[in-house]
Amino acid sequence: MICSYPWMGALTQRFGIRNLSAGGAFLALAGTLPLVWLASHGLSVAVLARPLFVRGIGLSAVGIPSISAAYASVNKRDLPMATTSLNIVQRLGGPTMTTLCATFLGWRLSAAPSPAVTSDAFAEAFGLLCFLHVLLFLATLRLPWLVPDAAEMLLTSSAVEADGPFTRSARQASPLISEMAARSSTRSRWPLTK
Amino acid sequence: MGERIGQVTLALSVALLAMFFKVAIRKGDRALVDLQLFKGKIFTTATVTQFMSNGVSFAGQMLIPIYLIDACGPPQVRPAGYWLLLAWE
Repeated sequence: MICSYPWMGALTQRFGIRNLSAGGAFLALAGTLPLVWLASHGLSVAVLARPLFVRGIGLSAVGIPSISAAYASVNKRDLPMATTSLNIVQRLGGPTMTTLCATFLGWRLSAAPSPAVTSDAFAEAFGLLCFLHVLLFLATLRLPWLVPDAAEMLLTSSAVEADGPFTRSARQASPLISEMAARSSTRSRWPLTK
Repeated sequence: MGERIGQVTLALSVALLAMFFKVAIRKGDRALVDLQLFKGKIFTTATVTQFMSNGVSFAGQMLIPIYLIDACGPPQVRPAGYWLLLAWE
């Protein structure tokens, strides 16, 4: 996370919210799958360290884009409430999933026929973690492509004057926005409209 | 004994969460935490993403050390390792 956070702003502008979050969630899933293998085949520090690094980068790429999508989607006067609500839900996530995984692990450990085969229980617990990662990936796929506000501004400006100053500067600012602008002027369907 | 305490606490927390939703929905705009925001599709999706992302992050932070202590460490370090984990979480 320390390595990847400084790049997140630029990456969000470059790839957009959905692509970056989904890419991050996918990376995190890819970094979690080796843990299942590890649990059933025995510990190797090299196999543990590399996926954990990838997992950290992936998870850090999910947070910032989705938070900016949430804040951009509410009215300015609702922002304080949005901060509180988002914070509460975010904080609920940790203990809920930890309890779920710990309960599952405890259940599998108690079901193990002897202490020697605890590795199977851990493999299953990591399997559950991978399943949760898949759910996270599916959730990120439902995020908007761009920050809602920016897309709306772009939509109105490109509808009024296709080569207006805003669109031109936006084109210079981000290749993704220019791609979106091109799409919206050629096709009537805008990816963000409901 | 420990298991029973856990079950009771879990049931209590679920009941309290249900009560929170009941009160918040009944009060509507006047509620301390306004649930109206969750009518926005983008906001809800982003919140679910945050919930899941924080969830997998913490679950991993719990599972991986327990795996390393329990399945890979020598038996002598296990109690110390669990206490460290508790203190850290």
